Amino acid sequence: MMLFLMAAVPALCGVGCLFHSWKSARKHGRSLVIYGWLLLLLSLLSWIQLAGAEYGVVFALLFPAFLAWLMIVFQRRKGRRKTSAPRTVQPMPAPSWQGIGRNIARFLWLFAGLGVAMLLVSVALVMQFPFAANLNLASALLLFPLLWAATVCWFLSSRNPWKVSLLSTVAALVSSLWLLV
Amino acid sequence: MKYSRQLVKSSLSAHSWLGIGMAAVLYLIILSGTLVVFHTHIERWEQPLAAEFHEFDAADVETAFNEYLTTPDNLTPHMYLVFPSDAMPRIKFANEQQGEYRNADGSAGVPAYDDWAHQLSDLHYYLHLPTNIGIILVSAMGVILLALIISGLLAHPSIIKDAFAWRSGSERIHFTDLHNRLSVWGLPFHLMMAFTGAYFGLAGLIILIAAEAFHDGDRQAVTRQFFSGDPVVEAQPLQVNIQQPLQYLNANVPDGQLLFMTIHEADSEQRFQEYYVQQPGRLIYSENYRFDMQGNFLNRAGYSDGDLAKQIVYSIYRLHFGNFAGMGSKLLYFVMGLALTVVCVSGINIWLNRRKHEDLLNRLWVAVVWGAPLAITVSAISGVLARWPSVIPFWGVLLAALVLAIIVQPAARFRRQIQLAGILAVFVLLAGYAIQFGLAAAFGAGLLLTCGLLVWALVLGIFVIRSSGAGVGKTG
Repeated sequence: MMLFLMAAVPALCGVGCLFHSWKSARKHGRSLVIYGWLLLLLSLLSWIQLAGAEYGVVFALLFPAFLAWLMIVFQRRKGRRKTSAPRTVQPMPAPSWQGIGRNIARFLWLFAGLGVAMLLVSVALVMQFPFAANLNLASALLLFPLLWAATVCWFLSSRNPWKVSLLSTVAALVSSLWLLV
Repeated sequence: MKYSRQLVKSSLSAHSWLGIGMAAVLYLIILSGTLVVFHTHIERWEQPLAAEFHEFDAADVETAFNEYLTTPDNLTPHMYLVFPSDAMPRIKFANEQQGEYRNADGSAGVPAYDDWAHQLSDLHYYLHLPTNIGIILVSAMGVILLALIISGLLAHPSIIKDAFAWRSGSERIHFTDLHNRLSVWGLPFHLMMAFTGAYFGLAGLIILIAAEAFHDGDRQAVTRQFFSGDPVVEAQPLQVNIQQPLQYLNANVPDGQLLFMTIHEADSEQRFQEYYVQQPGRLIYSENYRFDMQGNFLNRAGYSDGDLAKQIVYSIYRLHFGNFAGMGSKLLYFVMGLALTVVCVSGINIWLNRRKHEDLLNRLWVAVVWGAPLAITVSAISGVLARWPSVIPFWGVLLAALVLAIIVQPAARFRRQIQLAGILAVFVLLAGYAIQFGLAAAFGAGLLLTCGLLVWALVLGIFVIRSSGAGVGKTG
């Protein structure tokens, strides 16, 4: 219990400092932010002391969320929640088959096309890492989803998605040549 | 950090497109995953009549397991003996098809019904699709979650500045603040779930490419780098000695939590036994100790102190499901999972609220959000009370909710109807459970689930009462 308090209290104080820095905007804001993060770091060390390095890091990462959510709920401005006027219930407009087709094609490209491309790029990249072969492959477990997700975001937010697709395809071709030929 | 207006706008558009396109599937995966945290408790609740204990007589259990093993109808390539643990204080004998609980002296207990628990975890792992396709699709959703996190962070430049804001105002502002506050503080958990969730299906694809590139297509050669290969044994009898391994483990791993034992290759003479022992303070699923059928120690898999890569890969399961520090970590994961579920729902609610009108899409989203818990409850009535399959009722109810959404009516009214049906289903389930198993069972082995269901009925009741006011809540 004592060890739990030693981990929970700094976390509470740390999130409290961040909360007050947010609330008091400019006044002491910067120093409170620094104190806040230092206290959260102290809490991490206490969690590690309490539960070991592996569990401790997980607890230290997740626990502050609860404290922050509690503070958010308690400081919520008690204004009356506006109830918007009832909206008209309309029948759904007829779907545009062209639009549906375009979206399905986009999904397939994001899932299958970019997925396979980033798989090849990831495996080719991790094999350049200077670690043991199995640690290189384990790194691909992090790199592959990250590259895939980043490329999906890039594709969807790009003004010129064809450029993203072309670059991904070229990168995948180069990777597959290096890996499989 | 300053983002350009164009970056914010295009990231928001990517965030919306991904969220709207994948919301229903993500919601089902996150909701079922949140419940699967309590998988062992669900199994206990599903069969509350099994004897629960921590101490057992190893000699009696050995005799009984050998009888089970030598019954020809029972023999499959893998045979299992589950030992009592804190999460599951029962002994279970099982083969690849079915199992049965045993008493502390090894005598026959009740059948191990766990169909509903499995349909729930199968929904999370595979969306009830064929395993190979389902696991890749679900893992790809981990990538989509990661893409939503990246685009969400880029689309909201003030997300850190507004870290504690929760404004009062319109329903849209309410959902926006709820979505952003839960997202920003839950970020470490969301990232953890996205990466570890992606692992389960995508690892197979990485192995496939690595095998083609470096091992002439031999996938086993790649997996052997992470998972210890089987020990080589010959001419092993079918009769198994479990007393000697248990003595070995008591002497050498006194702090470990013995989970279960598997007999591999049970239908051949190369059979051997493997004991899965959880290590205190470690995220690895277990350290595995291998013995021959006479109980002679063969080797240790080396997950606890082997290569770093081996340890990382073997830690992902518990990190994803939160079953590493007893009830504390499970509750932590459950609440964080609920928060992620709310993030998913509120994201779509924001988008629906931006529209000037209501149409079929509003009701379809209501059908998914409130129909899925109703479908889970009805599948429990089928699976737990009637011992019928529970997958078909789940999809049947969800489909019925989606079909009913076609009827033109305000979404708020439709939502109340499904919520009332949800309350009714919970009471039918609890009443049926109490009649079938008795109140002692409902508040004994099934206490957690029974209380959880009562709380859920209460929450639904509050939603129904709160939304009875005119004009409130047009979204999910």
